[in-house]
Amino acid sequence: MVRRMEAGDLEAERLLVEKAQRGDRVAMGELLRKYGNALYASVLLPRLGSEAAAKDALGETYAKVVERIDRFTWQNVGFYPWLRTVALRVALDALRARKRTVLWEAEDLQREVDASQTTTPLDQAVQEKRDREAAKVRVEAALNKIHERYARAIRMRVIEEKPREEVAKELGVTPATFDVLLHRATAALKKALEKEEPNDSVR
Amino acid sequence: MGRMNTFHARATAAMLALSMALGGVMLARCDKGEPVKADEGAVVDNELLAFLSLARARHHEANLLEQNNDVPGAITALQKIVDAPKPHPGQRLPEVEEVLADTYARMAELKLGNKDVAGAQHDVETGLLHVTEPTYFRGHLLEVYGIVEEARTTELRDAGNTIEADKARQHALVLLREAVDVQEAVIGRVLDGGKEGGR
Amino acid sequence: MTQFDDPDAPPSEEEIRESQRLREALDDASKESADADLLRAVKHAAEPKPIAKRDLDEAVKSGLSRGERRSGGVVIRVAFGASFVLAAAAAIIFFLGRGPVQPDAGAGLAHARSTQPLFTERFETHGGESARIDRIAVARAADLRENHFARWGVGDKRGPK
Repeated sequence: MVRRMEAGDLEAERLLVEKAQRGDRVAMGELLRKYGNALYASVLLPRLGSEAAAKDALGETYAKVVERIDRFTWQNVGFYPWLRTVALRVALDALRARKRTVLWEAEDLQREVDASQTTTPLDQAVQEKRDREAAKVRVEAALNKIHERYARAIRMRVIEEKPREEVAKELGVTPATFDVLLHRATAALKKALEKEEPNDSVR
Repeated sequence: MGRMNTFHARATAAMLALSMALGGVMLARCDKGEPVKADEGAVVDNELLAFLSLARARHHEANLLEQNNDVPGAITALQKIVDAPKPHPGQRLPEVEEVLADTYARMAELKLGNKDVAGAQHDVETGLLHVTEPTYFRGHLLEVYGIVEEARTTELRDAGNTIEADKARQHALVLLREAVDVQEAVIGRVLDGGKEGGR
Repeated sequence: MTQFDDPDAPPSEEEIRESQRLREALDDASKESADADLLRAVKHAAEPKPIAKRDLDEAVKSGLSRGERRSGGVVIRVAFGASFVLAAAAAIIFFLGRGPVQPDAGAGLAHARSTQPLFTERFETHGGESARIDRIAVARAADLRENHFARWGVGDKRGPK
């Protein structure tokens, strides 16, 4: 069961935000650190697909938050929803600047940014869980578009991180043949993602 | 956008001496110019009541017109609430926001009844911008939005656009789930005797 | 039949070379490979790893200094004891530009606030709006009356609902 923020936690956070808005650097640092992992692991890393890009984006998110903290108005739903929106925008800018194929299209991310500003802000733990589930759903949707054997190769080697030799054995091929299979699986996945229409089910 | 923080020296000499003695702490604050929070600003006054009275009158006018099967007339009456000048311009009074949200919800339902699905969609989306916190007002709007999306699903299917119809249906499910989440959040706060409404 | 249709079709020489490159890039992140990047993106979406403390600290430090530079302000390191906080609250803290302030600062008066507390049950799916606005208007009219009395110094001092 996901633990939601209690009234006492919310009040403590509100006071921390007020301090940060008054220029208290220690309070600001505490706020940023508190949600760093949630932003990194459930928002930025899945969407940007690279640890380096996600770390850069996290730093940029923090810079924007510090710059604009005076514009934040406390609304009894905690600080995280606003942080998340800023992070999504940063990820969107980063995605637009990159040319690599990733699981998210810029249009998808634009819709998430819009949704974050119009849907009910959720408790951080709930939102984080939803973001992670949504990312898993997206991965499965992508893998379901390719041949089952390719999807298996990617699941076992990449997601489950099983050793190459073990996966090859399970698939009934030599390790060298498995290398070719994985290469083909990647090419098939890339082709499927490039053909995919923008997902506009989330507004 | 992007205001500079500035230092203001309104403290008296005694306060300056105090702050210097304690380490010279200065508070830097920028002029927010943002809407005042309810608990800091507007006192319940004639201006607010005038708006609430107008809204009440227009809703009852809409009741009578609906009873006479004049749905366009009812919508027009409610639109006058939305278009009316708001009390304390520049401030977001919670009562006003919640009344507007309810008004948009009602207009959306009336427009749905009139087969104006696009109009209904516009109204619920606009209404949601007025109530961002988890309250019954928001839960109700989300529910109405879910119903609007169900109507849109049917409209799209009838037009042969099954792909968009499926997307609308998925969106309807998301909205109805969200409405439940909001209702549960409100019920949870009521049961906890926690913060209610006020900020 | 292409390799997309038959995963086990015999590979071409180019495929063998490319698969070797992919394998090396997966084993060594410093080697450039768009395909390896895509597979890592899949991994990061499916099973994202938490950020290392060192990297988080770095991001916070960098964010603070960049953000402060951009806002052009000076963020003061605040470090004082509780007694000063109390004195400061009494004598130094002032709010600037936070919108119009009522001359009497609203002491003892009912303020504008959410009407959610007036409703203990979830709203009906259809209708109910005019009944709700009735309740809101009646409640706030009572507040207005109390506020008038309070300003005139008459009547009791029951708090707003």
